This record gives sequence, structure tokens and C-alpha cells, in this order.
Amino acid sequence: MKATIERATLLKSLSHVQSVVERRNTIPILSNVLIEAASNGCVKLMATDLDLQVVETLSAEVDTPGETTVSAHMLFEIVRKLPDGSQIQLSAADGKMLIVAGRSRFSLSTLPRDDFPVINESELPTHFALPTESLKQIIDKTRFAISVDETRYYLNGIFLHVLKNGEGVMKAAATDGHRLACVTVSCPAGAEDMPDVIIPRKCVVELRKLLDECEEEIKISLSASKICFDLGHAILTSKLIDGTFPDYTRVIPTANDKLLKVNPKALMQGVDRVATIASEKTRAVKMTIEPGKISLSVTSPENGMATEEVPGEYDADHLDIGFNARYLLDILGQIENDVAEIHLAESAAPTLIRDSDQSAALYVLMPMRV
Amino acid sequence: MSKLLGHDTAIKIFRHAEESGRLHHAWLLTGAKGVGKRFFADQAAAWLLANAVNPDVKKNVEPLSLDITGHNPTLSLIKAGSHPDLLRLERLFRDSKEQERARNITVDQVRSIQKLFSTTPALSFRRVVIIDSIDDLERSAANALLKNLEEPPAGTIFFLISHAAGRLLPTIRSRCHLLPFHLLEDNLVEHILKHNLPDISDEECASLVKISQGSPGYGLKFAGLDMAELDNAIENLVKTGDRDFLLRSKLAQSLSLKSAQSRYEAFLERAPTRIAAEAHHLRGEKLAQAIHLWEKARQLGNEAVSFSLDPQATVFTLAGFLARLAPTHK
Amino acid sequence: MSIRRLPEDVINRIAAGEVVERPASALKELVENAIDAQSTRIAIRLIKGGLDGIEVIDNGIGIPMDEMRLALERHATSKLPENDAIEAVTTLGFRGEALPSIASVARLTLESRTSKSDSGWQIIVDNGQFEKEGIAALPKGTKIKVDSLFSRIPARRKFMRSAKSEYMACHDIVRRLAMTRPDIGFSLEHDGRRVFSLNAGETRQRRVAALIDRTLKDNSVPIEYQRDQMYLEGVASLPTFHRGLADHQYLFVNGRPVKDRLLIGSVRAAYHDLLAKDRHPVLALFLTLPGSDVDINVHPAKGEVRFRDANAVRSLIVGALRESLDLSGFRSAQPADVQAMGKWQKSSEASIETTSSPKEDALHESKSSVSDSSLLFKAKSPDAVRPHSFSAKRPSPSTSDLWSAAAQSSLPPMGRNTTTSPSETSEQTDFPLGLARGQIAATYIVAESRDGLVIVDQHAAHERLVMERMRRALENGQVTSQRLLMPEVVEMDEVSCDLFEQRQDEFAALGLETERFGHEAILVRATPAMLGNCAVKAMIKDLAGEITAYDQSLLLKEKFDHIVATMACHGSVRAGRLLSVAEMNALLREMEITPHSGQCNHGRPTWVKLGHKDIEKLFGRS
Repeated sequence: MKATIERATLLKSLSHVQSVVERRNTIPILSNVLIEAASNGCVKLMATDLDLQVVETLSAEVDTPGETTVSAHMLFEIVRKLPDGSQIQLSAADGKMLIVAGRSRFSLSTLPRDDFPVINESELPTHFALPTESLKQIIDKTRFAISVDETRYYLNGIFLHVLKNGEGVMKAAATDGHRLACVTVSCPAGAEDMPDVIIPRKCVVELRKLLDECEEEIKISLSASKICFDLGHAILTSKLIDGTFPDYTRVIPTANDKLLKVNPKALMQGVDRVATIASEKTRAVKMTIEPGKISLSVTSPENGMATEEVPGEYDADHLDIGFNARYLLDILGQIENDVAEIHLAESAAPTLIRDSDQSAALYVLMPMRV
Repeated sequence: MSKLLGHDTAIKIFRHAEESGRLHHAWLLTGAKGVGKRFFADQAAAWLLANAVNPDVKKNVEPLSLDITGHNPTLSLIKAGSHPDLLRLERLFRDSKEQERARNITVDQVRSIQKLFSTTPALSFRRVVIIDSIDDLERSAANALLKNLEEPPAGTIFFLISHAAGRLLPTIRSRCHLLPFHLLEDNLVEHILKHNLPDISDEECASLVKISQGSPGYGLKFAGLDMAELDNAIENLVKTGDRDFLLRSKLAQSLSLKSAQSRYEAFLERAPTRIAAEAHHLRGEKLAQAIHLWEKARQLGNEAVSFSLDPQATVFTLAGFLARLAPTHK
Repeated sequence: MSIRRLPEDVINRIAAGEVVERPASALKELVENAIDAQSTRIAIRLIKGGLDGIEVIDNGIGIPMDEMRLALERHATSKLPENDAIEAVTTLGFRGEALPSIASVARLTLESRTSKSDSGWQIIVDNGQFEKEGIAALPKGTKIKVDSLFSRIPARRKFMRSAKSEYMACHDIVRRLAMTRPDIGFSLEHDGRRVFSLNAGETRQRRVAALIDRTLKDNSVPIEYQRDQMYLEGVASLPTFHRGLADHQYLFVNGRPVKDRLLIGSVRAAYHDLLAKDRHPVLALFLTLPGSDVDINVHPAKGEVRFRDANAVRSLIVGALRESLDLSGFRSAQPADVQAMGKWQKSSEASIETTSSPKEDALHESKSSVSDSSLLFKAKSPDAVRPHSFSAKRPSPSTSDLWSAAAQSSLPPMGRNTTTSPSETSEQTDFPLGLARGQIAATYIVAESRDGLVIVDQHAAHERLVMERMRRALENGQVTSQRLLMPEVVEMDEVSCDLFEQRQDEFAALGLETERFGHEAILVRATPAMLGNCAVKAMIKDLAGEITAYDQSLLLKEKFDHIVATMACHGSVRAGRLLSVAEMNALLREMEITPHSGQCNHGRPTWVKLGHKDIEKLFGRS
């Protein structure tokens, strides 16, 4: 193998792939990046953590096609330190890869390409395309609710499914058991019969990092066991979570008859202020809701107490309800309008929060007993 | 050696189950240490994973073999330890010493099974878990495993290796299909030893065959340790009773040298085995005594390395146990 | 009771075993015999760790001349009552094996005289062979001499450990036995050197301290506790007085030294939130209970015992220790000389290691100066650096590097906020922790009490105070709970569910709201908010297991403690923050009234004190 690549191109691609590689890996080959140089002037860089695989394609001057694997981290560090604008020549033979740029020469040991596990992304049955903005919205509005509790591994990702009732909508949901975030978008062509999938958190995180540099549409293909995002310059393929996502639609309240309309920014600032004195882990904020005003209060056995009034539009019965301040802030932070709708029932019942009945995203929050 | 010898029945049972589509999801491989269970598990795992990717692989394999010949991508990945759908659990090496393994398979290791199961398989519908050995599981680890054994995801096969299946949790045993591995004939053992140790002398080979007692892998461990001489010393102790303590003192001295570490460890294994062998010929009071001695010897043998007991004193004591087997000993 | 042969069946009932493995085991049998002989004074002499000679002289009742030969026969004892009830054994040695076993492997000289006889009698047995007997001149009591142990068994002799290690084992045996009987005087001599001499009739606390560490006397609480027919007394160190090994935990059941898991576990449980996992208290506990409630004949070495009602014993010990430690309140260890330095060095060591970032350079510097000053103290006080069994702690190389670097820069310790004038001293020093005089390194409060100088680690102290406050909140039921979006169903066997259901209300008070769900499941509706997003299933199952095992859910409390401890750590005054004198005094006053405030959540001390005497010693003025 012998190929010459411009430093900036190589560095950008390497920075994408090497973030997938786990730094401390007991299996040597998994620390490596697979480099494939094809005669058509394409170089592919591939990295994997066995769950997630990233392939970056970049153009280069390929003298001799071939393939090899070297330490991803090492290669990244070397390329990073080489002067900007340099042309980097990679050539591999006899268990070594030679890196030459200007007056610098490096020789890295390689491992055989056959040892590198490659997930085949070409045979996935379902294909559709989502606008990049829709995909960003799905991720941004739900990922804060993804559970980190490994014992409920089926909650460790975003659930993506299409309603089979012919309504033509695709839904994405995430929950940690205390709150739920759900985004509804129109179902793209080709996705009508897709299987329900749970996309693992790490895939979500890596995907989001790459989305800002993407074109308008992302091609997605998937099966019941794999999902693949074609971002143009990069292809991200991931295993899925092998579990059943709970029927979250049951917990979305439909009959909450007490509607509170409030400016989300004002409420956020108020909650943030009173929560200052809350003990860190619990951060319980009590809301006393009466027509015309909301009183926020926090009592902390060690720090004392704080109260604040926030204006709001409300004409139902008086209600006392407690929330975890952080959860409330997370959700309010997602509201884009000047008015947030908070649909309440009683102090122990799930509460629905959203922009309006037209908005794509909705959130459900369970109260605290304070 | 790339072919598993002497276990045609096990191969036949397994291949039949696989080809008839009624493959049990958990196989308990039982039999003496060194008889070939791990070898079988590795081959069977490769067989399953390779055939799941490409069903044509098995077409080129003889009926009584699991040996995939030629270049195969699955084999490369397994060899590099990078196969995403295969998990092997065995006692980990201790951080400080590469030579020494931890005493148990920990509950954290068993939890990594859950991690494998929490995402979909990568290369085919198959996932394989090998546990070598299930006897090494700490109690909490065994309990954690039960849940995985009960409801594994579709396409998942377990190979559990056990050298002492009688001591397993019955709840584990009952979830598994038992696949016994029998001891090999001496001539087959000799064949395997010579295949693995091309330079071995006839005398040492004979000694190792005797030590193997049908488990070539067990005998291989003692290769190059001059076991013939050590066995002689053991026999002398058992025969004479060592009334003047001379034999045991000499043995204790020679085995306590730094350079004799491997032979010392061999002796720790051999002493209880020798007592057990003797017990077969004894009756009544003498048998009770021998069983008692065996228990003590086994315990001491196990503790000696993990507690870093003084080798000289340990050998002295173990040799004392052996001497008490002598018919003249009161 | 006279010496007689044990019936065969009793011999068999008694666990057989080699009695004499090494000098210490022979010594143990001999001293136990001496104690059983109602002696008030026992003198022990050892030569070369007992390998070359053991001598035990007591002033007890002695053995009648005509029974001395019988005493040297196997399984002859005077100590079992007529009905052969092993269960009712109240004396220490009872198997009748000791003397003959020793006599079979050594040369043994037995001399004894009872109060009734005019003269003593002597029998010499050499390696099991009778050698000679005759009249001996000695006061009332028994004198046993054992020499040339194992001399006829060269192999055995060869495998003895060094004289030093044998001596350590002997010392340990005598120490344990001497602890059990402060009413008996003990003296121990080794190779002609007097190791200790203890007077008869001492208090237990004094005796234990004399045997373990003299400073323990001022750093321990006495334990005295009775429940039903069980009686527990002893001495337990304050949580700040601890060791890296659990080697100074002496436990006795009916006067017999034991090593029992149950007892060790109880001690752990009692100290569980007061000490770091790898630190161990120093204590000696003496449990007395009816002989029929305990089986001491589990193993001939008598280290293990079996209790009829193990749970009652466990709860007695945990309860007694907790109560005594609670009563001790704010008391932290009051190290006399070298210990104060040892502890102080330890705190600064930890801080230096954690403050290596450049932006904290100033802090680092001033902290180094603290170490520096302690180094100077050390150097000027040869007494203080004398090797001491209790604080033998070598600084790690990196630390000593820091020390020497600090010594070169030789910055003086800086005082800050010294706004109170010394004249106030006389009026207000009745506070145990004294009045704040200033702050050093923005980390430690320096206070003056009537009897000395107190230094407080402000972060550690505050952390503990916060944790205790949170704990009180928990105990008062001011707990918040987070409701679950989807109730979690936890499947368990019916018995566990039943037990769990019974405690449902208690869990609800801690924020865990559950309902019974069919025969074999529990439905969880809300979890304690403090636990964050916890693994509900695992927690419920752990709790159920815990209830089944102890019928008392310590576990939930422990998990809370953990959370509370972490929170407290984040919510407390950081090291490096300047405090006003009023703030400092408020902190000191609160520490005085808060239980367990003497140590931080990780078991380190929150304050150390140097008495006036100790200060004088440091300057060589005493």
C-alpha cells in the first residue's frame, strides 16, 4: 500500500474515527485503525469498538492499492503534530507502516487486516432518508432522557419506530424511568415497514458529533440488528440494543385537565435560583400553583429555604407539586416558544410539558414527594 | 495439533444436534482436566460462528471433525481475540505477575455477558460464550450467570467447561446439555504427547503418559520437569514411610530452591493425586485415613501458592502425608 | 476436685489434635493451667523464644504429690465435673492433654506443693520416659520447666521458625491471657530481660492499655453492657485511633481468647460508617454468657466458638459499641506526642497529593509550610521520632521529597485572622475544643483550649457535620422521593415478598414506595430521590435478602449513608476558603455537640490536640 494525503484532510477524518476507539483496550487490534487504499484514489479509514464502526472516505493519491492497520491514537497524534499543509505519504509493507512528511519519518508496527472485525453495512433491508435537521431534532430533544442505568439496558438508547396504524408518523423516544422525551416526525418514504429499533447511546453521541458537517439529507438503512447512517463523507454503522422498549405511550397522560401556561425562560431562571440552596443530589423544587401565579420553593435541612414567584396563566384549582429541579430545567431548556404548556392532574401524577399541541416534541415528568 | 483426537462421540453428538436444527443453547463439557474440553469448545465455537456467516464452510469438513481448514475470516478474528460475537471467560491474569492467574472468575466478568447480550450480534445471528471453567466462578458470579443461562437471546450458545461437575450448582447443571469427555487410551495419549513434544525422550514420555492418566493436556503441563525423578521420590515415600525423615527433608530442600518453582508446583498437584490413587487400594480404617490425608493434602496444595506458604515446610508436610500411607506406618 | 482418668467416650467426644506445635502452644497450655489453679501471680520466663526453655511459676493451689504422676498421663484432668458435662466447662484447659503432650516431646520438670503439705515434690520426664522423682523445695504453687523442646525430633526442630518469631507468638499468647485476668499479676521475662510486669488487681482499661499501647488509655471508651444473661465489657478505641491491620482486636468469650468471624463482623458493623474500609479499630472485648449458650469445643486450638443464638450476640456487641461510641460524642483521638505529628503529617500529605494544579500553587506552598513545620518539630524532638509500635509509618518517597523541598524554602507557618487577643483566653476556654485563634493554610483552624492547642481540618470537620445533619433529616422523615414513570415490577419468591410487604411502611418513610403485586412480585412506585436514578430491581432484591438474613434493614441505611457522605463532601466548606473567627467558632461549637464529629466520613480525624505537656516536650522543656 502506498498513498499520499493532504494533512488537513487526514487529520479531520482521523479525529472522527479515533473517537470511536477505546483508549484502553486489551485486544491490540481494536486500538487500531484500518486503512484501505483503493486504486480509484479513495482511502478509507475504519475504526470500531465492536459495537460501533465508523468509516471515513477521503480522496488521496494512491500509488499502490492495499490495506493495513495501525494504532489509531498514535497515527492521530503524529498527523496532528505535523506542520499544516504538508503532504503525508503512507506506505505499508512487511509488518510496518512508513509515514513520511517533509523531513519527518515514522515507522509504525502494523497488525494484519484479517484480524480487524468489519461489520458489513451493505445488506440491510430497510432504506430511507431523513432531513439532517429532523435527525438533529430527534437527537437533541431526546438524548438528555436516555437512561445510564445498565441494569435496564433497553433504556440505554433512543427508541425509533413507525406507527403501524397508517398515520404516517415516525416516533423517537427516550426515558430513564423518571422522565420521558418523545419526538414525532413524518414517516419518510421507505421506512413504513421498518422494525422497531433502539439506537445505543454511544452511536447517538458519535452520530451527533458528525451531523453538523453534513449535507441536507442522511441516508439511513437498518435491519432488526443493525443501523447504518450514510453521512456522505462518513458511514456510521452500529449494533442495536437487543431488548424491548417499554410501551411508553401508556404513560403519556391524555386527560390532564389543569393547564399552566408559563414563560419557560422565566420559570427556568426562577427554578435555577431557588435550587441553589437545594441539596445537590435531590434538588427538589416545590411548585405551589394558583390562578395567576406560581410560587417556587426549596427547603434544605442544612441550608435553609428559598422562594420565588413566577407569573403564569392558570385557572384551575390550587395545586402543590414537587419536581427534581434538574429534570425540570432539562425539559424547559428544550422549549423553543415563549410559552410552555404544562398539563397537570394532581401532585402524584405524571405531568405533560410541551411547546404547544403543534410541536413535534413532548415531555413527561414524574413529580417528587416533597 | 489441529485435530481433536479421541472424542469422536462428543463431536458426533454436537454436529448431529447442530445439523438437525435442535441445538441446545447451553452445553456442559465435563471430564478430567486436560482431556480436551477447551479444545473442543474453541473448535465448536469457531464452527458455529463460521457456518453462521457462510453455511458452505461445513461442506469441506469431514463428518467426524470440527476442524475448519484453510483461510477463514472467522478464524482470524477468533485468533486475534477480536471476534465481536464471541466471549471467553477465564481466570484473569493478576496485574503484577503475568504468570499467575486470579483464583476466581469474578462476578464482573460474568456481567460482561450481559453487555454482550444487550446489543445485537455483529457478524451473524450467532453469539457464543465459553466459560473455562465454570468451577472457577465465585458464588455470586454463578448466581449472576443463572439469569443469562435461563433466557439467552436467540442464536446464543454457551459452552461451560467443568472439571468437577458434581460440585456445580444444580440450577446450572439442570439448564445444560451434558457432554461428557472420557479419558483417552494410553497409546492415544502417547501419540498426542509426541505430536506436541517432538523432542521428548521415550523415558520422559512414558512418565508423562503415566501422569496423564488419560488426560494428555494434564501430562503436557509437566513436560520438561523431570517428572520421572519426582515420581520416584513420591513412590519411595509411600513405600518406606520415611521413618528417619531423611527423604522428606531432602525433597523439601530440593523443591524449595527458587529454580525448582515449577517442580514444586507439580509436586503440590501430584501429592494429593498420589494419595487418591493409593486410596483405591485401601479398605476400612486405612481408607478413612487416606481420605482424610487426601483432603488435608488437597487443601494445603491449594493454599500453598495463594497464601505463599513456605515451600520447604509445605513440601515437608505433604511428604509426611505421603509417608503415612506406607503400610508400615502406624 | 482431684485428678482422674477421663472415660473413653469423653476422650472421644473431645476434639483430638496436636496440642504442642510450637513453644507458644505449650506455653499457652501451661499458663492456662496456672490460671485454673487459682493463682494470683504468674511468672513466665522464656529462653530463645521458648525453644531453649519455658518456665511457668504460679502461686496456685498446687498438685498433691500422689496425683502428679497421673497428671502426666494422657487425658487425665481434674477439671471435668463428675457428670462429664463438657457443655458446662468453665475452666480454660480441660482436655487433660497438655502436660503429657508436652512431656512427650521435651524434658519436663514438674514441681508442686499444695498448701496442706510441708514440702514439694518433683517429677522429671524426658521425652515421655519417666526419669526421676523426689522432694523439691518450693513455696506453695506449681513450677513447670520445659527444656529441649523437640530435641529428639530433629526434623520438627528444624522446621521451627526463628527464636524471634517464636518469641512473638509466645508474647501474643501471654498478652491475651493477661488481658482476660486483670486480677492476676503477670510477669514475662525473655532471655533474662523483663518484658513486662503487671500488678494484680488492675482495672481492665489500664491492663489492656498496658499490654497494647499506653496511649490507648486516653483514646478509648470503656464498654460495659448487659442484656439478659449476656455481659459484655472491655475497651474500644475511638474511631480516630485506628490501624491498617485488624491485629489488635482481642476477643474473649468466657475468658477464652477466640478468633471468631461473628465477632469480627460485629466490630466491623459497629464502626462501619466511622472508619474507612481499610482501617481497623483497636479493642479488647470480653463476653460472658452461660456456658450452655456457647460451644467452645469446636476446635482444639480453641480459636473458634459456636453460639446458640448468634444474632443476639451480634446485636449485643454492635449495640454496646455503638452506644459507647455515641456517648463519647465529639471526642477524637488525643494523641500524646509522636501521634499528633503522625496524624498531622498524614493530613498534609493527602492535601499535597491532591493539589498539584498550578492555579493552586499558593495553597500548595502554604500547605508545604505546614509539613515543613512538622518536619522541624520532628527534628527537634528526638523523643518524638523514637520508633513506636503504633505509629510506625514511613512517608512515601514523593512525600519526603516534598518535605525536603519545603524545608529548603523554609517558609514559616503563616497565621491569619488572629483577631482575638490572648487576654480573652482565661474567660472562655471551657469549651473542649477551645476558641479559634486563627487559620493556617486557609485549611486548618487553630484553636486554644484550656489544656492545649487544637488543630481542626475545616473541610473534614464540616463534611462530617453536614453528613450528620443529613442523617438527622433522614431520621426525622424529611425525605424526598421521586415517582417512577413506569412502576417497576420486581419478581421475588413469596416469602421475600411477604417480609418486604411487612416493612413497606418503613421503606416508604425512607422514600421507597412499594406495593405488593400478586403473590410473587413487588411493585415499586417511587424511589428515594437521594439515590438518583438507581437500579431499582437490584436494590429491592438486596433489601429483601437483607431482611431475610437479619430481619433488620441495615442496607438501605448504608446506601443512604453513602449518598449522604458523597453529598456532604460536595456541600461542605472547601479546604482553602478563608473563614472568619465567628465562622470558625461556630464550627467548633457545633462539633462539640455533634456525635461522631471526631472523624471525617473517611475515618480520618477531624481534629488533633497537643496538650501543654506535649508542647513542652517538643521544645525539650520537660
